[in-house]
Amino acid sequence: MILCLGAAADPTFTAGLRGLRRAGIPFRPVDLPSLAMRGKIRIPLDSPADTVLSLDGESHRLGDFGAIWCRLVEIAFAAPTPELAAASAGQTEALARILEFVPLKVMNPPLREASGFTKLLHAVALGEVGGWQIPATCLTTDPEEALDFVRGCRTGAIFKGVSATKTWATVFEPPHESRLPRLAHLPVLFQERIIGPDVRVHVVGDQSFGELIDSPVLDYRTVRGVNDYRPLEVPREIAEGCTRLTGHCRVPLLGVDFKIERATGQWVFLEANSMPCFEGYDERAGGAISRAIAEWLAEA
Amino acid sequence: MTLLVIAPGSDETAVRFAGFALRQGVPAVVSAGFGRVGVSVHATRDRACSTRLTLDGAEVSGVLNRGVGDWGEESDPDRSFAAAETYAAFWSAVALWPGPVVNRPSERGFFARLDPLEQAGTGLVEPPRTVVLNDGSAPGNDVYRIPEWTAMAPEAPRSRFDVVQIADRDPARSHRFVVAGAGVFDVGAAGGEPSGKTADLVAPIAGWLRRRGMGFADFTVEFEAEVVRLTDVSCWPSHHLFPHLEDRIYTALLSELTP
Repeated sequence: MILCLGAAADPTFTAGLRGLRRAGIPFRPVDLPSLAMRGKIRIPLDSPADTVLSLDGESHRLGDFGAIWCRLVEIAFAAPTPELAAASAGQTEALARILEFVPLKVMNPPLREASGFTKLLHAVALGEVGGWQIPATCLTTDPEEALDFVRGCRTGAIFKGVSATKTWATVFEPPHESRLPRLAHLPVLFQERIIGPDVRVHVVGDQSFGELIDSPVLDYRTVRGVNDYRPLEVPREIAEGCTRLTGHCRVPLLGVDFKIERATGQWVFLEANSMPCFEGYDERAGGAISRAIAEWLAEA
Repeated sequence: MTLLVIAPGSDETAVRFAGFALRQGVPAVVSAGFGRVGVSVHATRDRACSTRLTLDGAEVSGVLNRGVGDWGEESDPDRSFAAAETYAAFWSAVALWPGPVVNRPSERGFFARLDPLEQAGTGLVEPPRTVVLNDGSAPGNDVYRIPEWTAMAPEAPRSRFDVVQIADRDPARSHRFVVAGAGVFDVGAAGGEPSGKTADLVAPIAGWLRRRGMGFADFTVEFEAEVVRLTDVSCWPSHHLFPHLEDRIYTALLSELTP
């Protein structure tokens, strides 16, 4: 039996549930907003397996399950009252902590991959594990240095925030130069622009599922109906690097983003997401990703 | 030679350390933002990094990391964004900077997550007697509301929406230690030196903290016969914890930062 912790309103969570159902694997879903509103939690830190979640007359002891599928998405901000927001945030923090230590297979322990919060360190450290190139990058508070970097990029440069807060990558153009003095008070991440298609590789344990995305815009996620999505067999050395990455990050599921430089065919690593929204890719892949997730969870 | 102490100006311990360093002839500046502080990190396609940290344009020679403050509480979206970016920029830059850093950020976090349960998993210490719940009760008088970690009176009425951590601690058996550079200080002992047996018992914990890059941290243990129960770990030791050992602890930190 698989315990599934997530939000019914999260399409990625429900895609995982559908994958389990299609595979005929028994599971017990727990809707975290409902748990925050009317459920009970009891977490004895000296015995994580004895953690009990109770909701609607049913109690679930973590140690009684074979594995846990969880997506602890941030929901407190949408709570209708401050009390519920606090309950949700407290519950999420407590569950995230204990899921690090339960003696079960967990996909994914929520706190494992921390470096995604700071993009430059993330790219350097994880690129090293994969053995991949990364875009030439400059993080600076110095306007002249930024301008020198941008001018040195043969195919142009993009800029974006360095944190995990959502920012859209933007092509650096001459009008942006007048804003560079602001860097002194808040540095910005500049990168060489890699011209070529995007690739998303979903890694489940040691299996990789690739998709090539050709888009007329800089960030394919910003548009609908104009991107060209094609399945892609992941080259062996890339797949091996992805498997090393799941081992290094100690998470079984990653969404790994690359660009393929059109002029050279070089794969360039962008980032790896330990809570990937895989449902669209899964649908186009005929359910292969969710099938692999279900199989990994069932191999208890 | 100038030290950068990454901390908000309200961090008294950071300010006191900077004052101590200055009295020893080592200029040190406390800052949690950019302006006087500058960063520059270049990474090549092959991930070779060159990193500079500057203060008023001059190279910094060492960094004590105490964090940039509680940026998660900022309600204004623009300020919140700027705070998150500042945090992430310091994180990458100081992690990749080759100079001496006490409490260096890493892949594991701006500060590495230090959970007593992890150390308990090695079998060298026992875990805390602690329960997290939102209903009912548990033994213990040490009650905190999560996620804001505000202390509550054990007998205070609680709503069913209160998620609390209740720890059953024995103050008579509790001992608190500070790791500072190469030193481990027993803050309950007059001279700060752990006795031989005590030093042996807490050495694995100090070693674990140092392996995580934490050269300035404190932890609390309870000794029960031969059992060591690790009840708490923190990356933010406060000077209130070690008033009689302040100079020794700051000396140990300074030694790490001015090799």
